[in-house]
Order: sequence, then structure tokens, then C-alpha cells
Amino acid sequence: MPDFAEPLARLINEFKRLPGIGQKSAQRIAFHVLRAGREDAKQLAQAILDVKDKLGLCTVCNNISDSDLCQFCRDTGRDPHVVCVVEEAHNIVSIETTRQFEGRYHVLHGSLSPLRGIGPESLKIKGLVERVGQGEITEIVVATNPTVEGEATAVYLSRLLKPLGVKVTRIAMGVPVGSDLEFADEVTMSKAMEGRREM
Amino acid sequence: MKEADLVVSFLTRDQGKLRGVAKRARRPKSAFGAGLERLSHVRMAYFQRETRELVNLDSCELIRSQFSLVSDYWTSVALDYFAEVTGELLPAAEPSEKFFRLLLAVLDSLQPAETGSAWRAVTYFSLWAVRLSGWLPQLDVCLGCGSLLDDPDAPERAFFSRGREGLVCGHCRKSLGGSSWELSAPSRALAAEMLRTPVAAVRQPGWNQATAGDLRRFLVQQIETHADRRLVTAPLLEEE
Repeated sequence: MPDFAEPLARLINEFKRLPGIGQKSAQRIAFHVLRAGREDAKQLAQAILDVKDKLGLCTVCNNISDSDLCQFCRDTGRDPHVVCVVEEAHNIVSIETTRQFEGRYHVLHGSLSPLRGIGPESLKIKGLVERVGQGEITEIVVATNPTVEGEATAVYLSRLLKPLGVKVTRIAMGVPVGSDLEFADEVTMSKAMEGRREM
Repeated sequence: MKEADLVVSFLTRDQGKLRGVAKRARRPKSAFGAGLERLSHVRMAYFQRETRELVNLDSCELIRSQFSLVSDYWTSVALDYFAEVTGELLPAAEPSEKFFRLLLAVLDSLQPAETGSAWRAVTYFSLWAVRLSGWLPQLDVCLGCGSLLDDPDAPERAFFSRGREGLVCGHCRKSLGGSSWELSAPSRALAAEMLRTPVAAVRQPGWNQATAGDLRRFLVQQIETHADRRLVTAPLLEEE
């Protein structure tokens, strides 16, 4: 690495620690910050600090929130009987954009991945079991990713929750809209056939 | 690299372990589909530049997916274990056709919703992975005094410990000190059977987590000693 002045080198090093940022990108962002006005730099620094200081996890669903309860758990207009389980908080955004789901959420903060040392106890599963145990929930919609890890998590949750008397459903998997069946692989196609519906 | 790109580690029959970039693989309409899921058996097209470590993946045609196996938690952990051990033991770009065949054989032996097959496959895979790496010691001879452990007239108990490359008899264990575990005679007999029998032919009824647990611990310790790091998946596999 070229010899930059110490504060600039430190900033580049900090940016390099971010996901997807290499040396070149880190340098470009650092020089952008250097050229920006003091007020802009202050706003950036404050935004980073606010994320750390003002955000926490919702005490009910583990979504990222700036208060005890997140916006979905606070919203009395949402159906408390149906809970959608997602891997990460940002998955909620994808579901919300559909405007089809009016229930509440539960964020696991990951999926079962032994390869990364993530077992059931590393996920926020205990809170989900407690929520189901309170008796208000009638359906759990498992919306984990359609990957091997996401599927393993879904199967694990279904085995854990079904004996508690709750209906466990899985989001549909299959052919994406706008694609061509000719290019679908056998797993995608078999999942699509499994999840077919009457018209 | 872009956000939707994926770096994939894959094992080929003829070129060994390679790493490559699959462009736009994370997009819903990706042509790779389920082909890049963990331990999918695929026919892959890629091109390689001499100066680049990462190859460019062009397409992959699914031959066999392991998706249906994840209905059993332990089988799912076993798949991650196979992936981790393979990644750890095989050097990059060195063909190992035997290891490739071993992986195919244990994957073929796994049955959905049949946990017993997972323990059998893990034990078989660990034993052969250690053997193909050239680290499997003689399981019937004491490393300390050279005595025969399976002598029909005077059978000896066998012990192993972390960092020691073979088994020792009860006498040598006392003189060497330190903590050690016993590798039972039935487990040693099972290892001998596994070394001369295909995985599908190894007797299966009654296989569970406790079956040959001592043998798996011994083999995992051998792998960890030579890889110089602890396996992440091994403790999850032996959790109760």
C-alpha cells in the first residue's frame, strides 16, 4: 500500500473491513470523504454512531428497531395470529414490498449452517417457541431462503413447532416469474410441481 | 465481483479443488439454479486464465442434488462436515480422483429421513479421508511398544490422544501420561471392515450417534492434528 498520511491510511483500513470493499474501493471512498465538506463527513460519522447507539433488537421479534417494539409489533392493525419467520431483518423488506402479508414477523438472525458453526442455539429460536407457547399464534410461515441451509432451518423449525399445535407453512419455491421452463433445473422444477395449486 | 456474484469452491474429478466466480448466481433467474448448492453433483463448464486464481464459471448442469437430504438435521450437518473436511484436506488444483469417488460414494449412501445412514457415511468418509491423506496409522499395533493389540491370546485395550499419531496399549498409556480416550475393539473391527468394504455394503441396522463414536473422535483428531485447526462442524455432529 502506498504511504498515505496516518489518518487517511487509518480511514482506508477501516473501509477495507467492510464487506465487498477492497483496497481500491476503500481508497476511492476515503478520498471522497477527504474532499467532502466537514459537515458531510460529520453527518456520515454521526449516522454510523446512531446506528450503533440508537438501534437494538425488538424484544418480541428480534427485528432491528429504535424502540422496545419494532414498527410491525407495535402496529395493532396487523394480524397477531400469523407470524412470518425470516433469516435476516432485511428479508422483511422483500416481503413487505409485496403488500400481501399482513401478519407479524420473527427474525432468526441466520440459518442453520454447521459449516459456519451456526447450530440451533445460535439462532433466535427460543423466543419463537415462547411466542407460539403463548397460544395466540395459529400459523407460522417459514420464509427462510430457498437454499440448503434455509431448507434445513425450515425443516428444523417445522419439527419443533408442529407438536405445539400450530400450523407451519413454507413459502413456495419454484420457477421465477419471467423465466423459461426450458432453463429450470430439476430441483427448481420439482419444487414448483410440489407447490402447484388448483386454479 | 458484483453483489449478485458468488465465489464457489468446487471439486473436480480431473483437476482437483478449484475456486471460481459464478456471475449473477444469487439472482432468482440465475442459470446456475440449484447447481451451486452445497455438494451438488454437477457437470460444470468453466474457463481458466493462467494468471488468475479464480476460474470463471460458465454453466452447470445438475446431475444430483442433495436438497432432499436436508429433511434430516443430522444428515444436513453431515453434508457440511464432508464439505469442510474436503476443503481442509485437499490442496488446490491437485487432482485426487480417489477422494472424488469417496465423496460420491458417501453421498450416494445417504438416505433421506434415515439418520443411521448419516453416521455410517460420516464414519466411513472420515476413515477413508484420513487414509487417502496418508495419515491412517495401523489400528492393531501399539505405537509405543509395538505389541499387537488384537492378539487373540492377549487382547489389549487401545487408547488415543490428541496430537499422537497412533494407538497405544494400556501400559504405554500409563507411561506416556496425559488425557486419552479408548478406541474400543468393536470400533477397530468396524474400521477394518470399512477399509475392505464399499460404504453401501457396511452393515447398517442399528446405526446411531453412539455407534463408533470413539472411532469418529479418533479420526477427527487425526484430521485436526494434520490440518492444524479445529473443525467447525465436528462438535455439532456429536452434539446430543
